[in-house]
Amino acid sequence: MALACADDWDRQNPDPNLKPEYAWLELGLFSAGDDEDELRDFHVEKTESESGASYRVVVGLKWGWPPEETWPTRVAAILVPENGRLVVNDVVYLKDNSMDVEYQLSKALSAGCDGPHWVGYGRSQNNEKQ
Amino acid sequence: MSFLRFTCALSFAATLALGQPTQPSKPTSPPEQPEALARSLYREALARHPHGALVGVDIKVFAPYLSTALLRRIETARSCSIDADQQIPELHSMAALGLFTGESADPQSFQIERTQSEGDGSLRVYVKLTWDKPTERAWTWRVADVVVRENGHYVIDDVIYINDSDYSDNPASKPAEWRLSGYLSAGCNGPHWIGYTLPKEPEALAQSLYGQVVARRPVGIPSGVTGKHSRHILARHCFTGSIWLSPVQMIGIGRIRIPT
Repeated sequence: MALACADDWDRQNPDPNLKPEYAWLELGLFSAGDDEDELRDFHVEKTESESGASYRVVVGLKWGWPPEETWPTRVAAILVPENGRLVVNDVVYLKDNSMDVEYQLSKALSAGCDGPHWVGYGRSQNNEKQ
Repeated sequence: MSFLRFTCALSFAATLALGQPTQPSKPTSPPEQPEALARSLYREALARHPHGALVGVDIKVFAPYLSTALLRRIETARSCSIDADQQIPELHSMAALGLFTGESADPQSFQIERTQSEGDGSLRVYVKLTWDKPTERAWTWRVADVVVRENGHYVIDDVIYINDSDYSDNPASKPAEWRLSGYLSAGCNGPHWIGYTLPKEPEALAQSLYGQVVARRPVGIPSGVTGKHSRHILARHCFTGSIWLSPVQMIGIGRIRIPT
């Protein structure tokens, strides 16, 4: 759906010099980072059971390369059962020093979209842009 | 749905001024020395961009460089890919990684770094590959060709896709080396497609996924010149974690992108 929406943005904005507006363009989908070169390490912090045999796995991410600045962030992978196995259904970008509010991969994928149609951030049901 | 079926191959034509020339050589037989063998192979590889199981002209070009065992693995992988097509007809067979480069992006240049002898009599020829595009940050990665003697000639028996990521903080998390041979057989039981097996425990699944994320550092939804279809497939597999994740934690297939 996100790709269809991106294609719709492309159709509406044929000028190749325009930078696409969709939120996931430069987003580290699983990390919430905007500069993945800085992503250095991770560790699984905890796993919580949720309803419906789902799980929320909190993952700590380490960013930056010493001696330069380093900083941690956290995400939570939401795992759900599907066809007899666990799969990632969403990723929650947890609020921390670099994130003022909690955000989600699913929202990033649909921001500015009404289904497969690009409608812009003022009109979509999910009008947030990270 | 083996690895051979996925692609986000990028096309480009420019050749870097640095590194080895990439014009294909046309030897009647591959060079006799290991480094020369590797050099000749990568000239061909960078010119032809072999992705997926070698077929047609590609197999004729590359077969003389390869060991009997590796050729057998490629043949088996081809059969497995056909089996996957029959089991999952909605997914069209597509090539994924460059067989000799281990990346979906095709490098424009390469450098033979060194040759190292192994205890088992084989040699490893280390090759640095460089991807560069005028508007994007260049990056390099390395592979090691496993070279063995066969019938009096050096041939390539495997390719190690080196993971240069820094695991100094947590050495135990460093995944096993990922190799061409593993790539060819992933999801297969001989010529039969059996699919990938992911960790069943949530923590192990997250461990596997984020090992991939740190190693590959995906940005946005992967894209490629093959367009919507491959983008869709790759995206879907990113989200379901069924392409890059396997029981052997095949994280090594992704490498750190080293700015050059």
